[in-house]
Amino acid sequence: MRSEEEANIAIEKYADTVRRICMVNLKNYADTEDVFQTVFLKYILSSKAFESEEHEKAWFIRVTMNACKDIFKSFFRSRTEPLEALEAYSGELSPEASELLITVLALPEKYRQVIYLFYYEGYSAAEIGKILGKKTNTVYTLLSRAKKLLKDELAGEYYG
Amino acid sequence: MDEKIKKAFDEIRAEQALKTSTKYFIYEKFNAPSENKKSSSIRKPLSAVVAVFALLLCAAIFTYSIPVSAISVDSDTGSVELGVNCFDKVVKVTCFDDGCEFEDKGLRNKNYKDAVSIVLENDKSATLTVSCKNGNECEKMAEEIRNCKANDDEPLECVTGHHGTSEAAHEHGISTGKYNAYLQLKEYEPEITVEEIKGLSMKEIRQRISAHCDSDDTKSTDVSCEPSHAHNKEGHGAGNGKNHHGNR
Repeated sequence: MRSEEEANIAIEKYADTVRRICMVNLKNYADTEDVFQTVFLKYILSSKAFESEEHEKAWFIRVTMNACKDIFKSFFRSRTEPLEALEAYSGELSPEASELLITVLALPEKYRQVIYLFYYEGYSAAEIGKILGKKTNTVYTLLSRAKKLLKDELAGEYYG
Repeated sequence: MDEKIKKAFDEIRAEQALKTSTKYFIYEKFNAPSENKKSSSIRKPLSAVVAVFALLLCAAIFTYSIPVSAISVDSDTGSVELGVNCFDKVVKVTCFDDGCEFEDKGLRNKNYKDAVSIVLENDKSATLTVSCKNGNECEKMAEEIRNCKANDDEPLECVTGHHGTSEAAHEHGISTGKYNAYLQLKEYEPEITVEEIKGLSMKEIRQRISAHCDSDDTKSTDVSCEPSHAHNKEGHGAGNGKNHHGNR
């Protein structure tokens, strides 16, 4: 079991990562708060020794993804509406970022996740496969389709 | 595209209120449940103790309620069998005749000697048969019963029987003592059946046995106390003094 101090350090370090993943997967602030508590509590209770910072970050990403999945597994939860997810975010966003995020968040969940992990976190298809529990070829297929959808939505402006 | 997407997501930061509420949640987890920890640290060994105690209690109740020996009291008026546990207490009373009142006489949980005294209050001429798995225990019980005489002038007739005799007797629906007597009589009258025995009183059975003993030139008609192994598979055993069939 980890100490309270270690937990506070981890919160400062990985809160932004966890928040982004919640943005991709959830639609309201209450769910985001639940996931935060779940993830950092698991961190304290886990005695897993991490080989590196990248290893630790990958752990946080995987646990947060799973925590979000658990929340919208519930029968009473509807899927994320992109505008609702952005409305739940109380921080400042530039108009450009806001527009792009609406487009990304409008994609089906499986595409949103790979887009985030590939373009933002910089993971390879194989690494994304491990995080999401999917085959590498499946991830390539999802990425390819996600790019096509984004291209269609953004009319080729960002494609490159 | 990747740069623009990266830049867009980069603008997303965890709200300070969210971080603070998470830190507070963690703080509560660390500081609140010390009582739970204490209570759970006490609860587990306490549960184990309670479970062991309950098990021992069940075992004790089970041991107490299981008869390990039987005392069959057979008289001319009827037969009753007392099941005795390893603590020398009567735990079972079985009547083999209609009109038997001993089931209601509060014999259960009494020491077997006291129970035998109560049973023999009205009929001192009964035959007692003690049967148990342990031969030595059987002898000891028989001796104890002989010592608690119902009537000082008349020695109490008490024999030991094999545990297997008791089971066979119950299968036929008669007491151990009567079954014992049936086996003795059968040695002289092989054609006799259990059904015929059921219709005879102990006195009548003993008279028929004695008649055969007499015809074997055995002068004594007493069916006196002796340790009897006559009804196990090995056949007649050694007796102390007079046996049922006299000295051949």
